[in-house]
Amino acid sequence: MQIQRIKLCIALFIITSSFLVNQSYALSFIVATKNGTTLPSTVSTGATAKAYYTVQNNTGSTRHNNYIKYLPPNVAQVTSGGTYADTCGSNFTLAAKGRANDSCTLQLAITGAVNSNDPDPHHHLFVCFPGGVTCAGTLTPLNVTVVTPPPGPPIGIASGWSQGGSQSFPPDGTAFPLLAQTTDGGISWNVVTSITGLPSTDHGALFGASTSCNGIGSNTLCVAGGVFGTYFSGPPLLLQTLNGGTTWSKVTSIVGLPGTDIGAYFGADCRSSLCLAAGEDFTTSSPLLVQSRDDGVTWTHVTVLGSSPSGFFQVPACNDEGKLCVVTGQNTGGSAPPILAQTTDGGITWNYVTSITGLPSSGDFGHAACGGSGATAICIAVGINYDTGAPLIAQTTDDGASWSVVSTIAGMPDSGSFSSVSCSDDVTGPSAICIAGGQVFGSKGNPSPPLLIQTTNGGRSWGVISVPGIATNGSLNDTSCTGAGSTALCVAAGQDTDASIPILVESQNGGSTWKKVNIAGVSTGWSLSGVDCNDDSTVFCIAAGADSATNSALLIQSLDGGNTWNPVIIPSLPTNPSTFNAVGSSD
Amino acid sequence: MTRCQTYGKQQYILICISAFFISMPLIFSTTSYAFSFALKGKNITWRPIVSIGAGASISSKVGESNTFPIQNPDSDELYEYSTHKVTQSSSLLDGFLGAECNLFPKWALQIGADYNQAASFNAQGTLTQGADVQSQDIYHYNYRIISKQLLLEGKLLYTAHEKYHPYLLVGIGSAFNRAYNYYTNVPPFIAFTRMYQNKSTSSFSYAIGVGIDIDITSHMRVGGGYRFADLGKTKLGNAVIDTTPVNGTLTQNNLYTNEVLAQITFIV
Repeated sequence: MQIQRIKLCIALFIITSSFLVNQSYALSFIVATKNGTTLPSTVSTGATAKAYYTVQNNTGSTRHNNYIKYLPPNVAQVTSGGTYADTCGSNFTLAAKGRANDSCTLQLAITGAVNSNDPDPHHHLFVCFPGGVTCAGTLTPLNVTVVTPPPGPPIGIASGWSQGGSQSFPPDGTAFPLLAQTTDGGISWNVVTSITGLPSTDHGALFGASTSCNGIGSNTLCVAGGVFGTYFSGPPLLLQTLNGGTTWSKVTSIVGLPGTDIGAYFGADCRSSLCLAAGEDFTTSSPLLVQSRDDGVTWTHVTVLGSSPSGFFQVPACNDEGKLCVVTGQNTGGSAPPILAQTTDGGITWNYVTSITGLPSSGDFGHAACGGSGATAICIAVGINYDTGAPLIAQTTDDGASWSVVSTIAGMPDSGSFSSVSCSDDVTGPSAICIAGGQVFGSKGNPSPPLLIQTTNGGRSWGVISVPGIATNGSLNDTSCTGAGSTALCVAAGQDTDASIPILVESQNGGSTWKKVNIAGVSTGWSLSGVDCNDDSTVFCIAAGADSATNSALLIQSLDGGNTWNPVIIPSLPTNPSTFNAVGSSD
Repeated sequence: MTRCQTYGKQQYILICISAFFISMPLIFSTTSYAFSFALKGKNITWRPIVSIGAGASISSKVGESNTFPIQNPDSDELYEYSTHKVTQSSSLLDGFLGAECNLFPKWALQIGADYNQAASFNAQGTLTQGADVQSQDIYHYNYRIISKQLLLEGKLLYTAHEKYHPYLLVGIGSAFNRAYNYYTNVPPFIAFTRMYQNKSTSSFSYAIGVGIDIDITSHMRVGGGYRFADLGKTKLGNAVIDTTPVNGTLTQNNLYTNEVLAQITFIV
């Protein structure tokens, strides 16, 4: 008997305990997670997450004008246009329990962290009768943490044109702008067919080094410049995407630039919030520079202070913080020094740089690059000295305060030119790794091999790089350095004119050693005009040009930091002859 | 007498009895430290006395059931408080300052002020709240009550066997009651409920009792006794639901206690 009593007590204890553990409440409303949905536990920075609750009247009578009295911080009620037809409004009526329309769906928009253990009851969800004294909360409160989303795959673009005749420059009146992109880090490429403000029937071309990207993932800004209509007869053309390639549009309004001017953009560079496009205003035969200082939202024509030369700008370049920028160019007013303009304040003011120690009286700056930051930021301008016929390189290593021509580089040829220069992402100028590529002009039957020089100390000293088996005759047309220090990747692309195949050379160790890259499936007739590697930790490199054998634009890429390079098949390339001139990739 | 009528018949009788005992020294006393008067030819001398005591205060009904009905069916809930009748005891401290006189050879009268305080009682019970029966929930509530009593007290003592003094006791005065620390287990993130502020009230109070004192010396006695006390009204303060003030509060009209006390008396 006593044992039975003990067993009964134990049973009652267990039953009571289970009741207490699973205790629920009747309340005036039952507020529960909507069936078929789950409450979010994270929200990405800057994004909005959704949560759905079913709010059911738990009383025996119709309840009018109920409302949500309290919500957690960072949570707002969606009262119209909700996902479900029965979304609760700001005031809602519910029929008696068990009748039709005894519930509605509460939709919440979450924009930040939500703490389900917040000690303040006013930071919790409460649904109330009119008057706000009879209310019910939920047994499934929101608990959301904010996460920073991963940067997303690199974005790459290649720009050029297609036209009815051939791939030759300049594009004629039959040319159409050609823009291809990858938004998944090179896994797939496609031709951009829809550009707001530029019907597919409009002629034009994208050329020069006028393609540049800045940003990460869906926040990437890319620009591609060229000419609208017929070269020399149409206005300059500038295309941009502000969302990593999701949509493209033509820049139609540039403050201070007459829409009727004829011109073209030959170069672009986008860094931080600053984006530059440079070229020539054919109407005035003067250099043309436009910029956006707000990530492409608004564009303005830049007036460069100082004596405005006749000529054109070719390539702008900025350091990573977008504060020190230069634009190089050529003076067409007879025999004249090369053109160089700079800003040291992120584009607020621009000046022509006229005091450059050792500047030739006649020459061309065809390309530029900048690096470092602060007082030791560097910029390098390269081209040709028309006085001597020698390659020309000038630089500033003090944030633009002073410029001088680099005159002592061991092994530098007497005759040649530089086509491109690029610097790594080192934040300090004195540690920047820069390379410049071009060609040696052999005389009297001597070879004209590619020319490559580099500095690993931000321009304090330069040296000529000899890459085994590079080419007897050829040129390096474009360069790209990314990363920093001993792991910086530098790539130079060009053409072996003897074999009529592209040249690709690279250093994967900050310039310590260089090698010639084997391009899978390389074929004669291939040529590369542009190369670019992104700044992300997952280095992604693209190089583009043309395949004269097939009369089609050519694109190759490396998805493994330069170890292997493979051609890219781009579906829906135009059937007309096409070429890519420039490439750009995201940070 | 009008004041007696407002308190009720029971309290009226007690007031009159107390008034008789308390008024006696006022009639026969002088302002001197030790005074005497002639009564049928005998001298009556008042001697100052001090008593301290300790014991227990026992109540079988702490708190009272209260109901706050639905005023507006569109917005209100019913709040029904049902007190749990649990006998509780609290420690009691008592102090008395007065004077004693010998009225007759075997009769003495003590008159003076009595102050006593018990430790807190716990008023607790069940709260049922809801808009209707199917949506109602049952919760627990409790709050504390602490009472202090200040009485004008008279004690009539008989002397037996020269040292035993059985007595009757009557006192009237005020009780100072504080109701505080209202608590409920309504989950604060699930529902709103009535919450109450602390409140102190003072009420008419009385006590009647019996006991026995025993002479230890001519100046010291020990004794024990029983008292029934009415501590008057206790109630909590203003009520709010969330941030909205609402009418009514938890009230107990009369808190009755049974007190047992051991005491020691010093006679000058």
